[in-house]
Amino acid sequence: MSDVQEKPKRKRGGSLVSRVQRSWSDSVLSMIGRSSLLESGEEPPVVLAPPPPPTPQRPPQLVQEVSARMLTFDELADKIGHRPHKDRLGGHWKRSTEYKAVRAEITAVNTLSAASLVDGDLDGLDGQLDALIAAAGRYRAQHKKNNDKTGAADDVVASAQAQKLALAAVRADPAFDQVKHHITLKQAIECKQRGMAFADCRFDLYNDTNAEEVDDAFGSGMANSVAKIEYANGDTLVFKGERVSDEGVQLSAASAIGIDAKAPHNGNRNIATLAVAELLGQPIVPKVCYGMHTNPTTGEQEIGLLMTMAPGKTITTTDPVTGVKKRREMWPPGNPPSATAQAKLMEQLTSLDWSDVITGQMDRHGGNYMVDINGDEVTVTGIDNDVCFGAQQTDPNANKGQYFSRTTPPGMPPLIDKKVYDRIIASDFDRDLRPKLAALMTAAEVTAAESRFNLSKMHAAGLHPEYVVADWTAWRSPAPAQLTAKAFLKAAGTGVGSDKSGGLFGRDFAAAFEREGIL
Amino acid sequence: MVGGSPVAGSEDQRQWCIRVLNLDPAGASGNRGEPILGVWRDAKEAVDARLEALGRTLRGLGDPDLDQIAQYGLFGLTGGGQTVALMAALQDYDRAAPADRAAAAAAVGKAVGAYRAMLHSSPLAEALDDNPFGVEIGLLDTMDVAFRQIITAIR
Repeated sequence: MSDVQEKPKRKRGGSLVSRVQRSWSDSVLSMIGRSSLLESGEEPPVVLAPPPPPTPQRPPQLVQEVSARMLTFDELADKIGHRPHKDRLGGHWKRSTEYKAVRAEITAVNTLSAASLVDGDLDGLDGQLDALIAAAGRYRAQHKKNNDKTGAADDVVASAQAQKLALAAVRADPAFDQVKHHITLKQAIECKQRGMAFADCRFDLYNDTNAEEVDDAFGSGMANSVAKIEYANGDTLVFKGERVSDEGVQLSAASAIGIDAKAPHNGNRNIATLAVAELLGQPIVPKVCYGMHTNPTTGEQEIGLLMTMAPGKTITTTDPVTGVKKRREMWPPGNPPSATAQAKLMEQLTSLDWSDVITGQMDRHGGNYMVDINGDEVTVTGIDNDVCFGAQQTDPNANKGQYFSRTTPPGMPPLIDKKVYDRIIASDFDRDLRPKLAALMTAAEVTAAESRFNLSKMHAAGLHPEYVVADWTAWRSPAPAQLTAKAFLKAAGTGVGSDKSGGLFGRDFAAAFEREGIL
Repeated sequence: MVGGSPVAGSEDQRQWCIRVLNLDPAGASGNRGEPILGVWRDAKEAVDARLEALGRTLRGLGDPDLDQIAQYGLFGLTGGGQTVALMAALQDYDRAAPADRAAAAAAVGKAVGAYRAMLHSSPLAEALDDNPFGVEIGLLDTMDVAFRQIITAIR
């Protein structure tokens, strides 16, 4: 008689399974370290549905060519010269007809682009840019023996062509209606210069008119200054002006993974990081969108990234006197987190580890994530997600030996939360991520993200089931070691001088747990 | 060379480069033929497609244990850390400059050896190949063919 009949507790689904097949099933379950569910009566694990696509839609792709070549009105004017010069022979102040034509067209472009987007004459501006290109061509022909002037004319043409591309991108953006009443044509073009999709812009909500309290000296990182703004709708957000270029200020970790300093699109990298966190079903990075705020130094309105305030504090802090970074005490000595909080801390830190390997995050040092421990509740938030999604990092399993300036813990996470595992296994790059990422980064960066995602998914699928953690308190590593999750992550190492680690917990918390005697 | 990239020329041009310059432009290009990562990927995708078919069959039987195997047990051999290490070695070889090719080939040989040993010592690989559900997987055979192609290519 078959095993199925000998064990009446087994579900009757087994009636479709032959004795040979049941025997095979039992053997394979044993090989992959799992127990039969038939006697326990438990339901099989639920595979979660992937998250829905964003609304409104982003454009199908980023127009990268816009960013590096487009000049501001002032830069255009500087290129061509501001005032008549003195003629060598006659002693008169004069400029050529071609010069005057270029200046006139630049002024006309600037005037047209100052109109609000809803009232703006997009066709007129497009024609005006053609006129500017033609005028610059005539200017170039007139001064073809003067390298300075031909170079200036070439720059003007390149910029005008870039503006035409940006204008086309403005027109083609499916979420045009979301911003058209709130910005000028020039600002819309500047959005495209920064690679922004209008779907990510909330100029209607987040502008100076709606700002009730502003702290322009809220903070700064190595690369960016930030402001804290309280809005009329009750939101308190952090604003970071979105630069067109990072030339001269780009972090070496960013250049190491191929982020174009001339067009870094840092805000988009934060939005893409949020997309990955949402795919994993984990609120481990801030909600982000674009808004506007007046720069206190220049007095001009800036477009920038707005982030929800992350609770808690960073793991490291910089001494204001010495400039030396030091580790914070995350709880009063002798008063460590509760067992529930410890489990949540490990779960969220490990989830951030998984998000970071998928995004190719290079800069997850202790100042770039925050932890809030409040009784049994824990919130881990990865902040400043600029240095990720590089085109030159296709392997998620990265370390400091490959990228010297990398500060993220090395290697693939050795454990995975069951909920994150389910999401990764259920997800598909083409279906769930590519449509979101394509508008935010270059095609090469999307391809690298696909590689990292698929390798990460493969790593998750290949992890022995014993390392998929459903309960961070009860979990034990396989026999004979039988380590707790925290001891296991500590044993995996801090990552210093190694190509693997126990992730953020292993690097930043394991030692403190040991000191408190809770490891 | 006459115009453009040396690898863009005809076989005659290539032979001229070898004879006169003592330089094989195909070798100088950094890629002498089909990327070996592609060889591996094709084999893996073929196996994965068959494993998918097995997974569908298992799920279709409505049995919790077979569901478990479909969810956790099928892709462990073609995924995981050793696969990532192998793919990294193959990718490094494909990208390696001529001067680095020998070291990259050695790393590929080592990674293939480790991976093949893992597969052939795995009772799970044998069980998948011998599954009683009528779905042909051919995991070991398919991978061995790919490994032979890879080893031939890097020699």
